[in-house]
Amino acid sequence: MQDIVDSLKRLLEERVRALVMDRGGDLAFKAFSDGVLKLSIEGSPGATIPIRKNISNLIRHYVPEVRDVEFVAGVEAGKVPVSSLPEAVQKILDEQINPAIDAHGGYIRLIEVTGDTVFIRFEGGCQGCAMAHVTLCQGVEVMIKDQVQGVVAVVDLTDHERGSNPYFKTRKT
Amino acid sequence: MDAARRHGVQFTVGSNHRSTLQEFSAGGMMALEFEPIEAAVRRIVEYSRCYPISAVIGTDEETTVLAATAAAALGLRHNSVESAVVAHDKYRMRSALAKAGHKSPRFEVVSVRRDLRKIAMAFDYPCVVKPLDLCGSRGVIRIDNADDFVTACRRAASILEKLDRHDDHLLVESFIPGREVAVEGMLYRGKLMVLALFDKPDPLDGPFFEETIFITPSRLPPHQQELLVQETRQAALAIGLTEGPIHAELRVNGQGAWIIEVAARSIGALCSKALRFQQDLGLEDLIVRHAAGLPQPEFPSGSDASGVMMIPVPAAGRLDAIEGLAAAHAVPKIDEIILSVPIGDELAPLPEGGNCLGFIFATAETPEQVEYAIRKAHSKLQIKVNTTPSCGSRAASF
Repeated sequence: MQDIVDSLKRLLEERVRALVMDRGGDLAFKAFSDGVLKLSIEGSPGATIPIRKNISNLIRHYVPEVRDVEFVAGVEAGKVPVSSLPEAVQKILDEQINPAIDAHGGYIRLIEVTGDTVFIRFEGGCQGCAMAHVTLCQGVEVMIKDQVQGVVAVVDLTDHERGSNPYFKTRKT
Repeated sequence: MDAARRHGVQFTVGSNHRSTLQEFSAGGMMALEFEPIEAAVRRIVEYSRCYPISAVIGTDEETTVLAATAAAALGLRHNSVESAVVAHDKYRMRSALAKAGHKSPRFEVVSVRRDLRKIAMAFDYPCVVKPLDLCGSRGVIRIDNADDFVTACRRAASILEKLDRHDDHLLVESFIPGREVAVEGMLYRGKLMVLALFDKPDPLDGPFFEETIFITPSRLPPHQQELLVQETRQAALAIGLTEGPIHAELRVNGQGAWIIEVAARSIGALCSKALRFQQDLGLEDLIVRHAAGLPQPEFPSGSDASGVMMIPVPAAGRLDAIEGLAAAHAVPKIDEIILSVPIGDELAPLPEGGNCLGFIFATAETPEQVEYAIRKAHSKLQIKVNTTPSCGSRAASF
């Protein structure tokens, strides 16, 4: 076990940490047990989120005993506490997500946060868009869960059938 | 995607539609032009250096060859590129099946640049013209005599042209009369597990071949069902398919079972929702589990009969409304109705169009009850199409 931890720490120092530092952040070993490696990560989410999967894959490639990699931002660093969850989600929508999807004439409205679940609605070019589900699962949900502590799921309440001007038209044959 | 999430499989969506959040997806999305295939494969291989890939799944007919080629480049278990190409090209498939001794209609590939009138004289009628690599019966037209041959070939060619397919070749084959069925299966190292045999109760005699209702289990006699499964198994072998989902279409008549085609993919669109397996798994669950190397469940599906109707497009024009949804939902045994075309969209029926309006799903104790429920629900829908949107409004209700 100690051998694996030593290998992981060496790998982080030699190959991984620089990837994060190049993006203005930093990364450190926190714990390893039951195949799950916990790393603390700091830095702008916009800079560090895109490389997390890459880091995870790289570590799992070099240390096959690692089954999963969890990133813990700072104090659960940088993750927003549950009490201000709706505000935190709204902030991510306002500052990161909506400016990006505006390029396709889209907008995401926060409907409510109930417990650990965020309910949203796609509007504009996102409503009825063929890529909406991909954007939700691989983009919106990833960004919100990575940055807001306590969010377990992001649920789309959009009536996509009524989307009158989707950016990508659905093609179901 | 949902199936992968259910099974804890990390995945990346490679799409020719670029999401605006791709950069934030931590490798979860990759914008990818599917053609030329060589360039697409190079991009996938480059991507795999950052995000190692352990399986590639093509999700529709358009991506089967790319998925096989990318898997080969990455050294992953998959159908061979050659078999994927054969399954994707109706002429190569017919040739492979005929060579392997399957019953085959007379078939020939023709170029629309040649003298079609002269070529028309060489065929027996009725015959069917088909684009080589479209699916969902798009561009498929029955021809009953030499006079119609030229018109039908030109019409099929113009469909290809509108889709930017720069191929002037079409397959022409003798019309095979009989009842049509579909076989849904999974290949595991060359061994076929049959998941469902669907009857298609609506006659498919042309002039166009709009698939509407699929119902399983089949009501054909057991010996015919066995024949159809056997024919599918041998056809997959003849084409060289060994891994993953297959969707086969066959006809059965007094002469036996005839393969229409075998595709290296699952049944199209949302139709797979009509299938449920043990542990409430769906077809996509089986596909993901196979690709990820996870153990497969036992296969027998639930004891209920199930079915789906791909709601046909009744006419060309602008879709103004679909009414009667509540009444259709209220029909006993109806599970779900999903509309897939937004109001206001332009509709094009076959052979030009490629979309259905949506899907009606039902389950019941018997196939007869399923068929009755689906037809009843469909009869409750009033589909309003503005058939002449550009030169004065003329609404029609179907």
